[in-house]
Amino acid sequence: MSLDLRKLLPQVDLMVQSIVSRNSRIDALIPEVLAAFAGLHSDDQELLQRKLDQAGETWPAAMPTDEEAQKTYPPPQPRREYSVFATDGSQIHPDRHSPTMYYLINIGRISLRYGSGAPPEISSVVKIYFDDDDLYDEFGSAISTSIINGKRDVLELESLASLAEKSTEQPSVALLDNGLLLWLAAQVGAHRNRPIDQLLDQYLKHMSRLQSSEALLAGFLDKPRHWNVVALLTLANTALEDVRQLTIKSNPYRGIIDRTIFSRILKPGFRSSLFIQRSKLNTAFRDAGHQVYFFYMHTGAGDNIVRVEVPEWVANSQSRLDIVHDALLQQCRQTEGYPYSLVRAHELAVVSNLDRQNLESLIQNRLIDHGLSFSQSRKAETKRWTGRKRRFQV
Amino acid sequence: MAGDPTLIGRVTRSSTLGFVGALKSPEPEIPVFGMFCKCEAQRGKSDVLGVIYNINIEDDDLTRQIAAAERPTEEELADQQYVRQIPIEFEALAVGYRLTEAYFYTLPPQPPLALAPIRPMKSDEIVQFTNQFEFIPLILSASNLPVDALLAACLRKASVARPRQERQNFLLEAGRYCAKLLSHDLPRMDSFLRILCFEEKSAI
Repeated sequence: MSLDLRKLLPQVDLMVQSIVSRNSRIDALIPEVLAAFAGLHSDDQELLQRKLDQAGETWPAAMPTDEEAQKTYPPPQPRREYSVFATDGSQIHPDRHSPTMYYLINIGRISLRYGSGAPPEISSVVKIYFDDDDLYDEFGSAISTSIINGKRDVLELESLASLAEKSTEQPSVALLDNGLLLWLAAQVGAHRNRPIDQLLDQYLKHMSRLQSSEALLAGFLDKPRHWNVVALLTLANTALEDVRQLTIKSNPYRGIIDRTIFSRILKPGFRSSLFIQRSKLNTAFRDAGHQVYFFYMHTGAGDNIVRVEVPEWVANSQSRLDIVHDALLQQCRQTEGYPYSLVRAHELAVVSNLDRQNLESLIQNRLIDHGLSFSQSRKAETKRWTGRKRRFQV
Repeated sequence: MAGDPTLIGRVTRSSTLGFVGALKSPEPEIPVFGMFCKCEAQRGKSDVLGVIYNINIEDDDLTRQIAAAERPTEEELADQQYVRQIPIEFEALAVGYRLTEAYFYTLPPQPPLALAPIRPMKSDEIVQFTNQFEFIPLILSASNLPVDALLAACLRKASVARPRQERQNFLLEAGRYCAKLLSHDLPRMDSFLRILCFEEKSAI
Protein backbone atom coordinates (compact mmCIF):
# COMPACT_ATOMS: atom_id res chain seq x y z
CA MET A 1 0.00 0.00 0.00
CA SER A 2 1.59 3.28 -1.15
CA LEU A 3 -0.80 5.57 0.66
CA ASP A 4 0.36 6.13 4.23
CA LEU A 5 -2.95 6.53 6.05
CA ARG A 6 -1.19 7.31 9.33
CA LYS A 7 0.35 10.40 7.77
CA LEU A 8 -3.01 11.41 6.33
CA LEU A 9 -4.98 11.01 9.53
CA PRO A 10 -4.32 14.54 10.91
CA GLN A 11 -5.28 16.04 7.54
CA VAL A 12 -8.47 13.96 7.41
CA ASP A 13 -9.33 15.21 10.91
CA LEU A 14 -8.80 18.80 9.78
CA MET A 15 -11.00 18.19 6.75
CA VAL A 16 -13.80 16.75 8.87
CA GLN A 17 -13.59 19.65 11.34
CA SER A 18 -13.83 22.08 8.43
CA ILE A 19 -16.93 20.26 7.09
CA VAL A 20 -18.57 20.33 10.54
CA SER A 21 -17.92 24.04 10.94
CA ARG A 22 -19.14 24.82 7.41
CA ASN A 23 -22.31 22.79 7.99
CA SER A 24 -23.09 24.66 11.21
CA ARG A 25 -22.58 27.99 9.42
CA ILE A 26 -24.94 26.81 6.65
CA ASP A 27 -27.53 25.50 9.14
CA ALA A 28 -27.58 28.89 10.85
CA LEU A 29 -28.17 30.64 7.51
CA ILE A 30 -30.93 28.38 6.27
CA PRO A 31 -33.88 30.14 7.99
CA GLU A 32 -32.75 33.40 6.38
CA VAL A 33 -32.39 31.78 2.96
CA LEU A 34 -35.80 30.12 3.23
CA ALA A 35 -37.37 33.45 4.23
CA ALA A 36 -35.71 35.12 1.24
CA PHE A 37 -37.05 32.37 -0.99
CA ALA A 38 -40.57 32.74 0.43
CA GLY A 39 -40.48 36.46 -0.28
CA LEU A 40 -39.06 36.17 -3.77
CA HIS A 41 -42.35 36.47 -5.64
CA SER A 42 -43.57 39.45 -3.64
CA ASP A 43 -40.28 41.31 -4.28
CA ASP A 44 -40.33 44.06 -6.84
CA GLN A 45 -39.93 42.01 -10.02
CA GLU A 46 -38.81 44.99 -12.04
CA LEU A 47 -36.06 45.72 -9.51
CA LEU A 48 -35.02 42.09 -9.47
CA GLN A 49 -34.75 42.15 -13.26
CA ARG A 50 -32.56 45.28 -13.06
CA LYS A 51 -30.32 43.52 -10.57
CA LEU A 52 -30.08 40.51 -12.88
CA ASP A 53 -29.14 42.82 -15.75
CA GLN A 54 -26.52 44.58 -13.61
CA ALA A 55 -25.02 41.31 -12.44
CA GLY A 56 -24.65 40.09 -16.01
CA GLU A 57 -24.42 36.50 -17.17
CA THR A 58 -21.28 35.75 -15.21
CA TRP A 59 -23.27 35.77 -11.97
CA PRO A 60 -24.94 32.36 -12.06
CA ALA A 61 -28.38 33.47 -10.85
CA ALA A 62 -31.38 31.64 -12.24
CA MET A 63 -34.10 33.70 -13.86
CA PRO A 64 -37.63 33.30 -12.52
CA THR A 65 -40.37 32.35 -14.96
CA ASP A 66 -44.14 32.83 -15.04
CA GLU A 67 -44.44 30.13 -12.40
CA GLU A 68 -44.33 31.62 -8.88
CA ALA A 69 -40.85 30.81 -7.59
CA GLN A 70 -41.90 29.36 -4.24
CA LYS A 71 -44.84 27.38 -5.56
CA THR A 72 -44.55 23.59 -5.63
CA TYR A 73 -46.36 21.16 -7.92
CA PRO A 74 -47.77 17.81 -6.78
CA PRO A 75 -47.22 14.57 -8.70
CA PRO A 76 -49.46 14.49 -11.77
CA GLN A 77 -52.03 11.72 -12.24
CA PRO A 78 -49.90 8.68 -13.20
CA ARG A 79 -50.18 7.59 -16.82
CA ARG A 80 -50.12 3.93 -17.67
CA GLU A 81 -49.10 4.25 -21.29
CA TYR A 82 -46.05 6.19 -22.39
CA SER A 83 -42.64 5.51 -23.90
CA VAL A 84 -39.23 6.32 -22.54
CA PHE A 85 -36.01 6.49 -24.52
CA ALA A 86 -32.70 6.83 -22.75
CA THR A 87 -29.07 6.89 -23.81
CA ASP A 88 -25.80 7.05 -21.99
CA GLY A 89 -22.24 7.06 -23.21
CA SER A 90 -18.85 5.84 -22.14
CA GLN A 91 -15.41 6.20 -23.68
CA ILE A 92 -11.83 5.00 -23.75
CA HIS A 93 -9.52 7.98 -23.98
CA PRO A 94 -6.33 7.75 -26.07
CA ASP A 95 -3.33 6.46 -24.17
CA ARG A 96 0.08 7.19 -25.62
CA HIS A 97 1.50 4.28 -23.64
CA SER A 98 -0.74 1.85 -25.52
CA PRO A 99 0.55 -0.13 -28.51
CA THR A 100 -1.49 2.11 -30.79
CA MET A 101 -3.33 5.42 -30.54
CA TYR A 102 -7.10 5.34 -30.71
CA TYR A 103 -10.13 6.32 -28.75
CA LEU A 104 -13.53 4.74 -28.49
CA ILE A 105 -17.06 5.89 -27.73
CA ASN A 106 -19.80 3.45 -26.75
CA ILE A 107 -23.43 4.56 -26.47
CA GLY A 108 -26.02 2.42 -24.67
CA ARG A 109 -29.63 2.84 -25.83
CA ILE A 110 -32.93 1.63 -24.46
CA SER A 111 -36.59 2.09 -25.49
CA LEU A 112 -39.31 1.15 -23.03
CA ARG A 113 -43.01 1.16 -23.91
CA TYR A 114 -44.87 1.27 -20.62
CA GLY A 115 -48.34 -0.18 -20.76
CA SER A 116 -47.40 -2.62 -23.54
CA GLY A 117 -46.11 -5.40 -21.27
CA ALA A 118 -43.33 -5.91 -23.81
CA PRO A 119 -39.67 -6.08 -22.87
CA PRO A 120 -37.60 -3.05 -23.86
CA GLU A 121 -35.50 -2.80 -26.98
CA ILE A 122 -31.83 -2.34 -26.19
CA SER A 123 -28.85 -1.66 -28.38
CA SER A 124 -25.47 -0.04 -28.34
CA VAL A 125 -23.53 1.99 -30.86
CA VAL A 126 -19.78 1.68 -30.66
CA LYS A 127 -17.11 3.38 -32.75
CA ILE A 128 -13.35 3.36 -32.63
CA TYR A 129 -11.50 6.48 -33.83
CA PHE A 130 -8.01 5.95 -35.18
CA ASP A 131 -7.39 8.29 -38.15
CA ASP A 132 -4.96 11.16 -37.73
CA ASP A 133 -7.88 13.53 -38.35
CA ASP A 134 -9.62 11.97 -35.37
CA LEU A 135 -6.59 11.97 -33.11
CA TYR A 136 -4.97 15.36 -33.80
CA ASP A 137 -6.32 18.85 -34.18
CA GLU A 138 -5.44 21.26 -36.97
CA PHE A 139 -2.28 22.33 -35.08
CA GLY A 140 -1.08 18.76 -34.67
CA SER A 141 -1.87 18.58 -30.97
CA ALA A 142 -3.42 15.40 -29.60
CA ILE A 143 -7.18 15.60 -29.25
CA SER A 144 -8.16 16.63 -25.74
CA THR A 145 -10.24 14.44 -23.46
CA SER A 146 -12.81 17.24 -23.17
CA ILE A 147 -13.37 17.22 -26.95
CA ILE A 148 -13.83 13.43 -26.82
CA ASN A 149 -16.32 13.85 -23.99
CA GLY A 150 -18.07 16.53 -26.04
CA LYS A 151 -18.30 14.14 -28.99
CA ARG A 152 -19.75 11.54 -26.64
CA ASP A 153 -22.40 14.01 -25.47
CA VAL A 154 -23.31 14.78 -29.09
CA LEU A 155 -23.54 11.06 -29.89
CA GLU A 156 -25.76 10.46 -26.85
CA LEU A 157 -28.18 13.11 -28.11
CA GLU A 158 -27.95 11.86 -31.70
CA SER A 159 -28.82 8.33 -30.54
CA LEU A 160 -31.70 9.67 -28.52
CA ALA A 161 -33.02 11.55 -31.57
CA SER A 162 -32.72 8.38 -33.69
CA LEU A 163 -34.73 6.37 -31.16
CA ALA A 164 -37.39 9.06 -30.97
CA GLU A 165 -37.67 9.38 -34.75
CA LYS A 166 -38.16 5.64 -35.14
CA SER A 167 -41.03 5.54 -32.68
CA THR A 168 -44.63 6.42 -33.39
CA GLU A 169 -45.68 6.06 -29.76
CA GLN A 170 -46.95 9.15 -27.97
CA PRO A 171 -46.36 10.51 -25.47
CA SER A 172 -42.70 9.76 -25.18
CA VAL A 173 -39.95 11.07 -22.96
CA ALA A 174 -36.31 11.17 -24.07
CA LEU A 175 -33.88 11.06 -21.17
CA LEU A 176 -30.25 12.05 -20.81
CA ASP A 177 -28.13 11.46 -17.74
CA ASN A 178 -26.85 15.01 -17.83
CA GLY A 179 -27.75 18.65 -18.04
CA LEU A 180 -28.92 19.82 -21.46
CA LEU A 181 -26.36 22.55 -22.06
CA LEU A 182 -23.43 20.98 -23.88
CA TRP A 183 -20.92 20.70 -21.03
CA LEU A 184 -17.88 21.17 -23.24
CA ALA A 185 -19.19 24.50 -24.55
CA ALA A 186 -20.27 25.55 -21.05
CA GLN A 187 -16.75 24.93 -19.72
CA VAL A 188 -14.90 27.01 -22.30
CA GLY A 189 -17.33 29.93 -22.05
CA ALA A 190 -16.36 32.64 -24.49
CA HIS A 191 -13.24 30.77 -25.61
CA ARG A 192 -14.98 28.55 -28.11
CA ASN A 193 -13.07 27.35 -31.14
CA ARG A 194 -14.08 25.75 -34.42
CA PRO A 195 -14.25 22.10 -33.25
CA ILE A 196 -16.36 23.12 -30.25
CA ASP A 197 -18.64 25.26 -32.42
CA GLN A 198 -19.07 22.33 -34.81
CA LEU A 199 -20.01 20.04 -31.94
CA LEU A 200 -22.42 22.63 -30.58
CA ASP A 201 -24.06 23.00 -34.01
CA GLN A 202 -24.52 19.24 -34.23
CA TYR A 203 -25.88 19.12 -30.69
CA LEU A 204 -28.46 21.81 -31.41
CA LYS A 205 -29.42 20.07 -34.66
CA HIS A 206 -30.18 16.87 -32.73
CA MET A 207 -32.24 18.86 -30.25
CA SER A 208 -34.28 20.12 -33.22
CA ARG A 209 -34.71 16.53 -34.42
CA LEU A 210 -36.05 15.60 -31.01
CA GLN A 211 -38.40 18.55 -31.05
CA SER A 212 -39.73 17.49 -34.47
CA SER A 213 -40.19 13.93 -33.26
CA GLU A 214 -42.39 15.28 -30.43
CA ALA A 215 -40.43 13.34 -27.84
CA LEU A 216 -40.16 15.32 -24.61
CA LEU A 217 -36.48 15.82 -23.89
CA ALA A 218 -35.27 15.97 -20.28
CA GLY A 219 -31.83 15.98 -18.68
CA PHE A 220 -31.70 14.29 -15.29
CA LEU A 221 -29.07 15.39 -12.76
CA ASP A 222 -28.70 13.35 -9.63
CA LYS A 223 -27.19 15.02 -6.57
CA PRO A 224 -26.88 18.42 -8.27
CA ARG A 225 -24.54 20.99 -6.75
CA HIS A 226 -25.86 24.00 -8.66
CA TRP A 227 -26.57 27.19 -6.74
CA ASN A 228 -28.45 29.18 -9.39
CA VAL A 229 -31.51 29.75 -7.18
CA VAL A 230 -29.33 30.65 -4.19
CA ALA A 231 -27.49 33.13 -6.42
CA LEU A 232 -30.87 34.65 -7.31
CA LEU A 233 -31.71 35.00 -3.61
CA THR A 234 -28.35 36.68 -3.04
CA LEU A 235 -29.25 39.21 -5.71
CA ALA A 236 -32.70 39.75 -4.20
CA ASN A 237 -31.07 40.56 -0.84
CA THR A 238 -28.40 42.87 -2.29
CA ALA A 239 -29.02 46.55 -2.89
CA LEU A 240 -28.99 47.49 -6.57
CA GLU A 241 -25.97 49.74 -6.15
CA ASP A 242 -23.98 46.89 -4.54
CA VAL A 243 -24.72 44.29 -7.21
CA ARG A 244 -21.64 45.11 -9.25
CA GLN A 245 -19.41 44.45 -6.24
CA LEU A 246 -20.92 41.02 -5.71
CA THR A 247 -18.40 38.21 -6.00
CA ILE A 248 -18.56 34.53 -5.28
CA LYS A 249 -16.28 35.04 -2.28
CA SER A 250 -18.34 37.89 -0.87
CA ASN A 251 -21.60 35.97 -1.34
CA PRO A 252 -23.17 35.72 2.15
CA TYR A 253 -24.81 32.44 1.18
CA ARG A 254 -21.58 30.88 -0.07
CA GLY A 255 -21.61 27.10 0.31
CA ILE A 256 -25.40 26.77 0.19
CA ILE A 257 -26.68 24.90 -2.83
CA ASP A 258 -30.18 24.82 -4.35
CA ARG A 259 -30.69 21.25 -3.19
CA THR A 260 -30.41 22.40 0.44
CA ILE A 261 -33.37 24.74 -0.05
CA PHE A 262 -35.55 22.38 -2.03
CA SER A 263 -34.95 19.45 0.31
CA ARG A 264 -36.79 21.57 2.92
CA ILE A 265 -39.56 22.70 0.61
CA LEU A 266 -40.46 19.81 -1.68
CA LYS A 267 -42.66 16.99 -0.43
CA PRO A 268 -42.13 13.50 -1.92
CA GLY A 269 -43.07 13.50 -5.62
CA PHE A 270 -43.42 17.29 -5.82
CA ARG A 271 -41.51 19.50 -8.22
CA SER A 272 -40.42 23.10 -7.86
CA SER A 273 -41.30 25.93 -10.19
CA LEU A 274 -39.42 26.38 -13.41
CA PHE A 275 -36.37 28.60 -13.63
CA ILE A 276 -34.18 29.59 -16.56
CA GLN A 277 -30.46 29.05 -16.45
CA ARG A 278 -28.82 32.35 -17.37
CA SER A 279 -25.60 31.99 -19.33
CA LYS A 280 -24.11 33.00 -22.66
CA LEU A 281 -24.43 29.42 -23.77
CA ASN A 282 -28.12 29.32 -22.94
CA THR A 283 -28.54 32.45 -25.04
CA ALA A 284 -27.16 30.46 -27.98
CA PHE A 285 -29.62 27.70 -27.12
CA ARG A 286 -32.43 30.25 -26.93
CA ASP A 287 -31.49 31.62 -30.35
CA ALA A 288 -31.79 28.08 -31.71
CA GLY A 289 -35.22 27.66 -30.06
CA HIS A 290 -33.98 25.37 -27.28
CA GLN A 291 -33.51 27.62 -24.24
CA VAL A 292 -32.91 25.44 -21.19
CA TYR A 293 -35.23 25.62 -18.17
CA PHE A 294 -34.88 23.62 -15.00
CA PHE A 295 -36.82 22.53 -11.96
CA TYR A 296 -36.02 20.50 -8.87
CA MET A 297 -37.95 17.38 -7.99
CA HIS A 298 -38.27 15.14 -4.93
CA THR A 299 -38.03 11.65 -6.38
CA GLY A 300 -40.03 10.12 -3.55
CA ALA A 301 -37.09 8.14 -2.23
CA GLY A 302 -35.61 9.33 1.07
CA ASP A 303 -34.82 13.03 0.71
CA ASN A 304 -33.54 12.67 -2.82
CA ILE A 305 -33.73 15.99 -4.68
CA VAL A 306 -32.76 15.98 -8.34
CA ARG A 307 -32.53 18.66 -10.97
CA VAL A 308 -34.36 18.22 -14.26
CA GLU A 309 -33.54 20.31 -17.30
CA VAL A 310 -35.96 20.71 -20.19
CA PRO A 311 -35.90 22.76 -23.39
CA GLU A 312 -38.36 25.61 -23.84
CA TRP A 313 -40.66 23.53 -26.07
CA VAL A 314 -41.28 21.26 -23.08
CA ALA A 315 -41.25 24.01 -20.45
CA ASN A 316 -43.84 26.11 -22.25
CA SER A 317 -46.58 23.48 -22.01
CA GLN A 318 -48.10 22.46 -18.68
CA SER A 319 -49.26 19.11 -20.09
CA ARG A 320 -45.78 18.31 -21.43
CA LEU A 321 -44.19 19.23 -18.12
CA ASP A 322 -46.69 16.98 -16.35
CA ILE A 323 -45.76 14.06 -18.62
CA VAL A 324 -42.05 14.53 -17.89
CA HIS A 325 -42.69 14.96 -14.15
CA ASP A 326 -44.89 11.84 -14.01
CA ALA A 327 -42.60 9.69 -16.17
CA LEU A 328 -39.57 10.55 -14.04
CA LEU A 329 -41.39 9.77 -10.81
CA GLN A 330 -42.57 6.43 -12.16
CA GLN A 331 -39.09 5.66 -13.50
CA CYS A 332 -37.55 6.43 -10.11
CA ARG A 333 -39.95 4.29 -8.12
CA GLN A 334 -38.29 0.90 -8.58
CA THR A 335 -34.76 2.15 -8.33
CA GLU A 336 -35.01 4.42 -5.29
CA GLY A 337 -34.55 7.74 -6.99
CA TYR A 338 -32.77 7.23 -10.29
CA PRO A 339 -34.65 6.46 -13.54
CA TYR A 340 -34.71 2.79 -14.47
CA SER A 341 -34.07 3.54 -18.14
CA LEU A 342 -30.91 5.49 -17.29
CA VAL A 343 -29.68 2.67 -15.04
CA ARG A 344 -30.00 0.31 -18.00
CA ALA A 345 -28.57 2.74 -20.57
CA HIS A 346 -25.54 3.18 -18.34
CA GLU A 347 -25.18 -0.57 -17.97
CA LEU A 348 -25.19 -0.92 -21.76
CA ALA A 349 -22.70 1.89 -22.22
CA VAL A 350 -20.11 1.32 -19.57
CA VAL A 351 -16.67 0.22 -20.75
CA SER A 352 -14.93 -1.58 -17.92
CA ASN A 353 -11.19 -1.97 -17.40
CA LEU A 354 -11.60 -5.59 -18.42
CA ASP A 355 -13.33 -4.52 -21.67
CA ARG A 356 -10.43 -2.22 -22.36
CA GLN A 357 -7.85 -4.93 -21.69
CA ASN A 358 -9.75 -7.32 -23.98
CA LEU A 359 -9.91 -4.73 -26.75
CA GLU A 360 -6.18 -4.03 -26.42
CA SER A 361 -5.41 -7.75 -26.62
CA LEU A 362 -7.55 -7.98 -29.75
CA ILE A 363 -5.71 -5.05 -31.33
CA GLN A 364 -2.33 -6.56 -30.42
CA ASN A 365 -3.29 -9.93 -31.90
CA ARG A 366 -4.47 -8.32 -35.13
CA LEU A 367 -1.25 -6.31 -35.36
CA ILE A 368 0.78 -9.51 -34.96
CA ASP A 369 -1.37 -11.27 -37.60
CA HIS A 370 -0.32 -8.54 -40.03
CA GLY A 371 3.34 -8.87 -39.11
CA LEU A 372 3.39 -5.57 -37.24
CA SER A 373 5.38 -5.28 -34.11
CA PHE A 374 4.21 -3.20 -31.24
CA SER A 375 5.61 -2.25 -27.95
CA GLN A 376 4.13 -0.94 -24.81
CA SER A 377 5.88 2.03 -23.31
CA ARG A 378 8.37 1.21 -20.59
CA LYS A 379 6.27 3.30 -18.24
CA ALA A 380 3.14 1.22 -18.95
CA GLU A 381 5.12 -1.97 -18.57
CA THR A 382 6.67 -0.95 -15.24
CA LYS A 383 3.27 0.22 -14.01
CA ARG A 384 1.96 -3.24 -14.81
CA TRP A 385 4.77 -4.80 -12.75
CA THR A 386 4.18 -2.61 -9.74
CA GLY A 387 0.40 -2.46 -10.05
CA ARG A 388 0.03 -6.13 -9.22
CA LYS A 389 -0.76 -7.30 -5.75
CA ARG A 390 2.33 -6.98 -3.65
CA ARG A 391 3.92 -9.72 -1.71
CA PHE A 392 5.02 -7.42 1.06
CA GLN A 393 3.53 -4.24 2.32
CA VAL A 394 5.95 -1.31 2.28
CA MET B 1 -30.85 -19.59 -28.04
CA ALA B 2 -32.08 -16.98 -30.46
CA GLY B 3 -30.66 -17.53 -33.96
CA ASP B 4 -29.67 -21.15 -33.41
CA PRO B 5 -32.43 -23.32 -31.97
CA THR B 6 -30.06 -26.28 -31.60
CA LEU B 7 -27.71 -24.42 -29.29
CA ILE B 8 -28.28 -24.53 -25.53
CA GLY B 9 -25.35 -22.35 -24.63
CA ARG B 10 -21.57 -22.17 -24.65
CA VAL B 11 -18.99 -23.63 -22.31
CA THR B 12 -17.62 -21.21 -19.73
CA ARG B 13 -15.50 -23.74 -17.81
CA SER B 14 -14.97 -27.46 -17.95
CA SER B 15 -13.10 -30.46 -16.64
CA THR B 16 -13.11 -34.13 -17.50
CA LEU B 17 -15.86 -34.55 -14.88
CA GLY B 18 -18.25 -32.18 -16.63
CA PHE B 19 -18.77 -28.73 -18.02
CA VAL B 20 -20.54 -25.51 -17.22
CA GLY B 21 -22.37 -23.55 -19.88
CA ALA B 22 -23.99 -20.14 -20.00
CA LEU B 23 -26.84 -18.71 -21.98
CA LYS B 24 -28.66 -15.42 -22.03
CA SER B 25 -32.22 -16.55 -21.44
CA PRO B 26 -33.79 -19.99 -21.30
CA GLU B 27 -36.38 -21.36 -23.74
CA PRO B 28 -39.27 -23.22 -22.14
CA GLU B 29 -37.72 -26.63 -22.90
CA ILE B 30 -33.99 -25.95 -22.81
CA PRO B 31 -32.07 -26.36 -20.70
CA VAL B 32 -33.94 -28.60 -18.26
CA PHE B 33 -32.84 -30.80 -15.40
CA GLY B 34 -31.80 -34.29 -16.55
CA MET B 35 -31.41 -33.28 -20.20
CA PHE B 36 -28.83 -35.10 -22.34
CA CYS B 37 -26.44 -32.76 -24.07
CA LYS B 38 -23.24 -32.93 -26.07
CA CYS B 39 -20.25 -30.73 -26.60
CA GLU B 40 -17.34 -30.93 -29.01
CA ALA B 41 -13.89 -31.73 -27.64
CA GLN B 42 -10.48 -32.63 -29.05
CA ARG B 43 -10.99 -30.17 -31.91
CA GLY B 44 -14.14 -31.90 -33.11
CA LYS B 45 -12.72 -35.41 -32.88
CA SER B 46 -15.02 -36.36 -30.01
CA ASP B 47 -18.24 -35.27 -28.36
CA VAL B 48 -18.42 -35.17 -24.58
CA LEU B 49 -21.87 -36.34 -23.47
CA GLY B 50 -23.40 -34.84 -20.37
CA VAL B 51 -26.56 -34.64 -18.32
CA ILE B 52 -27.66 -31.32 -16.88
CA TYR B 53 -27.83 -31.50 -13.11
CA ASN B 54 -28.06 -27.85 -12.12
CA ILE B 55 -29.37 -24.62 -13.59
CA ASN B 56 -28.28 -21.49 -11.84
CA ILE B 57 -29.60 -17.96 -12.36
CA GLU B 58 -27.29 -15.30 -10.97
CA ASP B 59 -28.56 -12.19 -9.29
CA ASP B 60 -27.09 -8.75 -8.81
CA ASP B 61 -27.96 -5.55 -6.96
CA LEU B 62 -30.38 -4.27 -9.61
CA THR B 63 -32.25 -7.58 -9.74
CA ARG B 64 -32.56 -7.58 -5.96
CA GLN B 65 -33.74 -3.96 -6.03
CA ILE B 66 -36.47 -4.74 -8.57
CA ALA B 67 -37.46 -7.89 -6.68
CA ALA B 68 -37.91 -5.86 -3.52
CA ALA B 69 -39.83 -3.07 -5.26
CA GLU B 70 -43.47 -2.71 -4.30
CA ARG B 71 -44.94 -2.76 -7.79
CA PRO B 72 -42.41 -3.50 -10.52
CA THR B 73 -43.85 -2.78 -13.94
CA GLU B 74 -44.44 -5.59 -16.41
CA GLU B 75 -41.98 -3.98 -18.82
CA GLU B 76 -39.19 -3.80 -16.27
CA LEU B 77 -39.84 -7.38 -15.19
CA ALA B 78 -39.71 -8.48 -18.84
CA ASP B 79 -36.46 -6.56 -19.22
CA GLN B 80 -34.91 -8.36 -16.27
CA GLN B 81 -36.21 -11.77 -17.34
CA TYR B 82 -35.67 -11.75 -21.10
CA VAL B 83 -33.41 -8.89 -22.16
CA ARG B 84 -30.85 -8.01 -19.54
CA GLN B 85 -27.59 -9.85 -19.95
CA ILE B 86 -27.43 -11.89 -16.79
CA PRO B 87 -26.11 -15.25 -17.89
CA ILE B 88 -27.93 -18.35 -16.82
CA GLU B 89 -25.44 -21.04 -15.92
CA PHE B 90 -26.08 -24.71 -16.24
CA GLU B 91 -23.85 -27.53 -15.09
CA ALA B 92 -23.57 -30.87 -16.82
CA LEU B 93 -22.06 -34.09 -15.51
CA ALA B 94 -19.98 -36.00 -18.06
CA VAL B 95 -21.51 -39.48 -18.54
CA GLY B 96 -19.56 -40.64 -21.57
CA TYR B 97 -18.26 -39.58 -24.94
CA ARG B 98 -18.63 -40.38 -28.61
CA LEU B 99 -15.61 -41.07 -30.77
CA THR B 100 -15.92 -42.06 -34.43
CA GLU B 101 -19.60 -42.97 -34.04
CA ALA B 102 -18.97 -45.28 -31.09
CA TYR B 103 -20.19 -44.50 -27.58
CA PHE B 104 -17.94 -44.90 -24.54
CA TYR B 105 -19.34 -45.07 -21.04
CA THR B 106 -16.52 -43.48 -19.13
CA LEU B 107 -15.05 -40.05 -18.54
CA PRO B 108 -13.84 -38.30 -21.70
CA PRO B 109 -10.13 -38.08 -22.53
CA GLN B 110 -10.27 -34.29 -22.75
CA PRO B 111 -12.82 -31.68 -21.67
CA PRO B 112 -14.40 -29.27 -24.15
CA LEU B 113 -12.75 -25.90 -24.63
CA ALA B 114 -14.20 -22.65 -23.34
CA LEU B 115 -16.98 -21.29 -25.58
CA ALA B 116 -17.53 -24.64 -27.31
CA PRO B 117 -21.20 -24.89 -28.33
CA ILE B 118 -23.39 -27.14 -26.17
CA ARG B 119 -26.26 -28.80 -28.01
CA PRO B 120 -29.07 -31.09 -26.92
CA MET B 121 -28.64 -34.73 -27.97
CA LYS B 122 -31.17 -35.77 -30.61
CA SER B 123 -33.70 -38.51 -29.83
CA ASP B 124 -31.92 -41.14 -31.94
CA GLU B 125 -28.60 -40.29 -30.24
CA ILE B 126 -30.18 -40.62 -26.80
CA VAL B 127 -31.69 -43.97 -27.75
CA GLN B 128 -28.38 -45.27 -29.07
CA PHE B 129 -26.45 -44.02 -26.06
CA THR B 130 -28.93 -45.37 -23.50
CA ASN B 131 -29.34 -48.76 -25.17
CA GLN B 132 -26.64 -49.73 -22.70
CA PHE B 133 -26.95 -48.79 -19.04
CA GLU B 134 -23.24 -48.29 -18.33
CA PHE B 135 -23.75 -44.53 -17.97
CA ILE B 136 -25.84 -45.16 -14.82
CA PRO B 137 -22.89 -45.97 -12.50
CA LEU B 138 -21.23 -42.69 -13.52
CA ILE B 139 -24.30 -40.79 -12.38
CA LEU B 140 -24.77 -42.76 -9.18
CA SER B 141 -21.14 -42.33 -8.21
CA ALA B 142 -21.12 -38.56 -8.59
CA SER B 143 -20.60 -36.88 -5.27
CA ASN B 144 -22.52 -33.92 -3.87
CA LEU B 145 -25.17 -34.10 -6.57
CA PRO B 146 -28.87 -35.00 -6.33
CA VAL B 147 -27.98 -38.23 -8.14
CA ASP B 148 -31.22 -40.19 -7.55
CA ALA B 149 -33.45 -37.41 -8.86
CA LEU B 150 -30.98 -36.78 -11.70
CA LEU B 151 -30.88 -40.42 -12.74
CA ALA B 152 -34.68 -40.70 -12.63
CA ALA B 153 -35.03 -37.57 -14.78
CA CYS B 154 -32.43 -38.89 -17.26
CA LEU B 155 -34.18 -42.23 -17.54
CA ARG B 156 -37.46 -40.47 -18.18
CA LYS B 157 -35.84 -38.42 -20.96
CA ALA B 158 -34.33 -41.59 -22.40
CA SER B 159 -37.72 -43.34 -22.31
CA VAL B 160 -39.61 -40.53 -24.06
CA ALA B 161 -36.96 -40.57 -26.80
CA ARG B 162 -38.23 -44.07 -27.63
CA PRO B 163 -41.47 -45.14 -29.36
CA ARG B 164 -44.40 -45.18 -26.93
CA GLN B 165 -44.65 -48.99 -26.90
CA GLU B 166 -41.00 -49.37 -25.82
CA ARG B 167 -40.96 -46.85 -22.99
CA GLN B 168 -42.33 -48.99 -20.17
CA ASN B 169 -40.03 -51.86 -20.97
CA PHE B 170 -37.03 -49.53 -21.08
CA LEU B 171 -37.85 -48.10 -17.66
CA LEU B 172 -38.40 -51.59 -16.21
CA GLU B 173 -35.02 -52.77 -17.49
CA ALA B 174 -33.32 -49.61 -16.25
CA GLY B 175 -35.03 -50.02 -12.86
CA ARG B 176 -33.75 -53.61 -12.55
CA TYR B 177 -30.22 -52.45 -13.43
CA CYS B 178 -30.35 -49.71 -10.82
CA ALA B 179 -31.78 -52.12 -8.21
CA LYS B 180 -28.69 -54.32 -8.64
CA LEU B 181 -26.40 -51.32 -8.16
CA LEU B 182 -28.28 -50.13 -5.10
CA SER B 183 -28.92 -53.55 -3.54
CA HIS B 184 -26.53 -52.72 -0.69
CA ASP B 185 -28.67 -49.73 0.30
CA LEU B 186 -32.31 -50.81 0.48
CA PRO B 187 -33.83 -47.55 1.83
CA ARG B 188 -32.15 -45.61 -0.98
CA MET B 189 -33.23 -48.17 -3.59
CA ASP B 190 -36.80 -47.93 -2.33
CA SER B 191 -36.70 -44.13 -2.52
CA PHE B 192 -35.17 -44.20 -6.00
CA LEU B 193 -37.73 -46.66 -7.35
CA ARG B 194 -40.52 -44.44 -6.04
CA ILE B 195 -39.07 -41.46 -7.93
CA LEU B 196 -38.69 -43.62 -11.02
CA CYS B 197 -42.31 -44.84 -10.77
CA PHE B 198 -43.44 -41.24 -10.63
CA GLU B 199 -41.30 -40.42 -13.68
CA GLU B 200 -42.65 -43.51 -15.43
CA LYS B 201 -46.25 -42.41 -14.93
CA SER B 202 -45.52 -39.01 -16.40
CA ALA B 203 -43.54 -40.47 -19.30
CA ILE B 204 -45.97 -43.13 -20.43
